[in-house]
Amino acid sequence: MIGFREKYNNWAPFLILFALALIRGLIFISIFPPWLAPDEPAHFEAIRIIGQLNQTPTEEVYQQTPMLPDMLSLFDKFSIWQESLRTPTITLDTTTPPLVPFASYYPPISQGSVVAAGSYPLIYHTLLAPISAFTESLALDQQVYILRLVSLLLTLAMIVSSWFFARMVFPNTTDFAIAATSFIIFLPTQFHINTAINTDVAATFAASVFYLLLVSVMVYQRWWLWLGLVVVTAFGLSIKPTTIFLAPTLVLLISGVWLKKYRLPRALLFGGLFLLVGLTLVGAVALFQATEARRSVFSALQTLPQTTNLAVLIPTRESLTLYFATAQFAFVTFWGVFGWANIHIPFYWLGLLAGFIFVLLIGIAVYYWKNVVSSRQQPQMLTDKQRAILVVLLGSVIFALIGIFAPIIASQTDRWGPPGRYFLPTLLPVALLLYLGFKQILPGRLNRLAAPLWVTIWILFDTATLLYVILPVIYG
Amino acid sequence: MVKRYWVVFGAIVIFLLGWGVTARPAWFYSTNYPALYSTQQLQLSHSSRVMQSFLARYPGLYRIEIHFSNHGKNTGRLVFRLKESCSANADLVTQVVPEASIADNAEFAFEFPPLDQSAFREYCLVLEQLPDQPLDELAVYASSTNLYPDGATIFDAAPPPAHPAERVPPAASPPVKPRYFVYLPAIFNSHGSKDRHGYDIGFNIYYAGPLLPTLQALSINLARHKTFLFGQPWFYLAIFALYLIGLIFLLHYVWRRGVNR
Repeated sequence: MIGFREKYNNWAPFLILFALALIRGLIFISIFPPWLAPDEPAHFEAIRIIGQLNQTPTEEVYQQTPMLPDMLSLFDKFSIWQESLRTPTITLDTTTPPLVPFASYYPPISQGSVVAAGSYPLIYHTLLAPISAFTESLALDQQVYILRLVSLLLTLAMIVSSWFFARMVFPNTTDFAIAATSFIIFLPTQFHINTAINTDVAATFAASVFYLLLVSVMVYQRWWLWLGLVVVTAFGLSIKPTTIFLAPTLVLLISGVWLKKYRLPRALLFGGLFLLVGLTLVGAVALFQATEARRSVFSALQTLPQTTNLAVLIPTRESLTLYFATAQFAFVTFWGVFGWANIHIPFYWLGLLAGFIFVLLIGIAVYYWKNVVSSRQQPQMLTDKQRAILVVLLGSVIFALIGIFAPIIASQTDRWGPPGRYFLPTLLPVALLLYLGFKQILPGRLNRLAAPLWVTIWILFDTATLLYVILPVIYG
Repeated sequence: MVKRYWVVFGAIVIFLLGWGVTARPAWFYSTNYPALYSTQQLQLSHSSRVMQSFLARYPGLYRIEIHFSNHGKNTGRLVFRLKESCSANADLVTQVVPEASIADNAEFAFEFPPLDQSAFREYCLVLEQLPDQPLDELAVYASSTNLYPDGATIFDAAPPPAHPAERVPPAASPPVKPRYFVYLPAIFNSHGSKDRHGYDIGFNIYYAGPLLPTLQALSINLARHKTFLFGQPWFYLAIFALYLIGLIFLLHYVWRRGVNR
């Protein structure tokens, strides 16, 4: 029988973290003015067109949909252009025909930022359209805040998934759940992006449920968990291309479960994993090259032999320079860029972070070698099930990296970023792995303080970002 | 012992390697931070002056930085005035600085005793040369359209000089680095203006006001123009207080568990 003290110790941290996540969500929703989030106007407009105009947001519809005077006034009221260190693309007259369309006023960065049918998945926008229709009578900024509250609900669900995900992987202690969930909660870019109106929050939510079900399947092996996993995979894939790694992860899981009964040598299993990673890389590059013209996957597959150019996989000096620059951009935008990529933490903070993360990566490698790959470690810290889970999680992170960088490798351009928010769907395994690396590098006598140190580090980073960067830049 | 030193050495090398790979990427500035100041230079002379109205949002206004262009061997003196409005006669602050002390393509700071009642008050800064000064190559960077929502520039241009110096078009300036600064709780500085592409000069304003009035002003600024509860200043005081309590709970819990292990 579990006593009260034990129940308290199990549930108190979860409740505290959940409450903090809710409060932080409200803080981030309120301090970032409407529209001051990546592509928020574009996603809002797509939802509004579907929900309030009962139209599919195609390129033609955008050309005929005028810029809303209320949206323009909000841009001015909250000084969005000034906050973003940009000038409006054109001077607008929203009263004299021909009225300027939204697509001409926004996007500020590229022509591709409008969310148009045929070139952008609209599942997220379609699901939120009824809420937009219901709130049509409200002021535009009120509609924005209500949709942001929906994003907060999805983020809270992701936080809950994170807790139970980590508890299932390491059931004997709440330390890992506290550490992993705290990392996610106190990552400022995560809360900024996932409390705004965009598809990243839906993708992150879907991926979090995927990881929860993945671990559940590996622990409990129930058929309905498998069914749920397949359904969530399909749902996640339909939201945004950044979740495409869910597919090879599922393949890895199925392969692992199927091969387990043959008791193959570890070397062969890891060789198979490397082969799967290689095939995923080649396949991702080929698929992107075939679909870059935004044709459907089926029509693209028919022309695959003509469009595939795997020579891009051969590293050259130019390509390595490109990869380095894009990786740098991804790192910078993952840790500390806000608004329209204009509000960023000081670069020397990023330097400290990069150094810290590099050390953690070494820690992860050592941890995996000692506890997952090598069978010589005694006593064994992990069960076979935990080792299998960690292999699949690491594989999923690698697949995510492939999926996000494949467009850059395939096109040999930096057109596809990638912005750090594309990595948010991998937050659950990333949070857990980084903590494992942290525990590995800590001296033995400090290891019992790993969780409090970890939580404190990220609280300090987040608090500094809020007080020294976000609030002063926007409200100075 | 030797192995431990190698581990520490290796960790330091890896740390520095990580730091090195995020050395300030120039492309990040060029693609995301365009040279917002470089479109105009408002030439200062003894017959022209620049005035910029602005709104101070916090108490304790004490420092204003102006972005200058200073090409020549200027021997004159620049007058900085702070007024309650651009039409006011009396100065709140008057400073005279040697133009030679103003660096080219950089901010120059004018500091004065903090104005504790500056929150939500309009001011006007005025820049002009003293009369009977030699014609110097000193200018204020500005932009070509009006972007600063809380004020505007008034530029009283001088007539063309008898022997006009050859005006060299401004070279493409390096992008202006966005300002980041300590805000709360100990050092109360705040960045004032963030607009570039407007008929406004490039300037930053700083505050060093008392804590409670600054927090009060912050909550008012946070609530400005917003709706629902987000438009109420007390909401921000309450939510941040709740957040602080939650953080204390969490830190107390995790540290107590860790120490007692």
